[in-house]
Amino acid sequence: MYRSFFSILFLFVCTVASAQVDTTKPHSISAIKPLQRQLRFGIDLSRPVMNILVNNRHSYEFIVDYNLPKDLYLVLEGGFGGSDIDYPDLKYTSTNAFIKLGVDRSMLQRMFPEDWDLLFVGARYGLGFVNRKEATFTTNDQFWGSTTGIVPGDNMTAHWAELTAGIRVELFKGLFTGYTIRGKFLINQGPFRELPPAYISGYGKGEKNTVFDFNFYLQYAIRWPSKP
Amino acid sequence: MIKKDALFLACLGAMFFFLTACEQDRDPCLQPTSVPMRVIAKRPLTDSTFVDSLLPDPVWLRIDTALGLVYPSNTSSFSLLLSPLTDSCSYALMPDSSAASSIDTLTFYYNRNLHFLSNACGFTYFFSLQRIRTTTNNIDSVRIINSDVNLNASAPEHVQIFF
Repeated sequence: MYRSFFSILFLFVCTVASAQVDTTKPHSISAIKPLQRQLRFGIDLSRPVMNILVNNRHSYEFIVDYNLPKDLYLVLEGGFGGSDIDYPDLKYTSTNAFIKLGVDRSMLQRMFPEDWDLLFVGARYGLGFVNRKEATFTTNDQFWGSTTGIVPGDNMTAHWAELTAGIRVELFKGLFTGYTIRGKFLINQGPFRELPPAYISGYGKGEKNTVFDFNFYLQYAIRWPSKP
Repeated sequence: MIKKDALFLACLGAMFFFLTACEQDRDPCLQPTSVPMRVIAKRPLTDSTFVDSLLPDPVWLRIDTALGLVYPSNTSSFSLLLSPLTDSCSYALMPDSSAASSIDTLTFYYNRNLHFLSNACGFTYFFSLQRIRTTTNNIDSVRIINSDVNLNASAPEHVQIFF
């Protein structure tokens, strides 16, 4: 857990330190406000790639954010996925859906009102609904012999908190790309001590209390004039 | 933010992504999955004091097969495996196999508790010792010290055998 914490801390420091380069520029003007409101929809492109590279799990994740006053962004995330464990001594499948709600705070001052590039830190609360199907297992005992058995399926609810940091860059008008790095901390560990799902979409490995994760987004923004 | 800096950070992010993508399908199992019951041989030094008893050439045999656990000479501590298939198992103990000494039979009675280790290691059984029955050719008595047979290596031994 400490290693994960310091890894996240290191990345936060690197990201914020990178931001310092730009904020020292002479054309940095404080209190430049956007003239528009922005609602941005996105998909995590890393997940379909991971679904191909890691063949025993799948996940699809989406994100919506909306800019609030004072450089804050209200963020809603959601998605679904599951895992399919097929080891010689353990077989089961699990599926889950999740939702996350949180805020991101921009760490950059705007250079002009249409500047929507973003470097941010934030926090999330995550809620996942997990269904683990019946599991079959084999215990390997070379002295007495192996045993096999079945563990009944179970429904579990996962609560977790996240610290986030990342960037968004407007490649073309309204089209953004960027990434978010996340440190995730499982709040209710109790239900996940006995055969946790191998992978919880939106969280990560179900048997770990601390998870380090990464998303790579493609987002599209719609904007409309803000009221004066 | 300057675009080239942003692209640099985006590349950095892509690197992290590919590092993350190199995850293994299954983590290696880095913990023991066999749950040994620790047995120690004792002998009286005085009426109230007992010391470890070094058995000359000890062999533990599974009573229903020819499978055995051969220990080095002059050993007093043993690790035995309880059967996950049934709620009791029997071992024959030869304290001195080289001298064809008499044999004692010990039957261990216990409850089995299925225990999940991890997705990497799967399941194993923990045991809760209930009682032990023994013959008394060489053995004087047996005593359960710690009935919980699990992977806690720092717990006291489970069974003492008095000669």
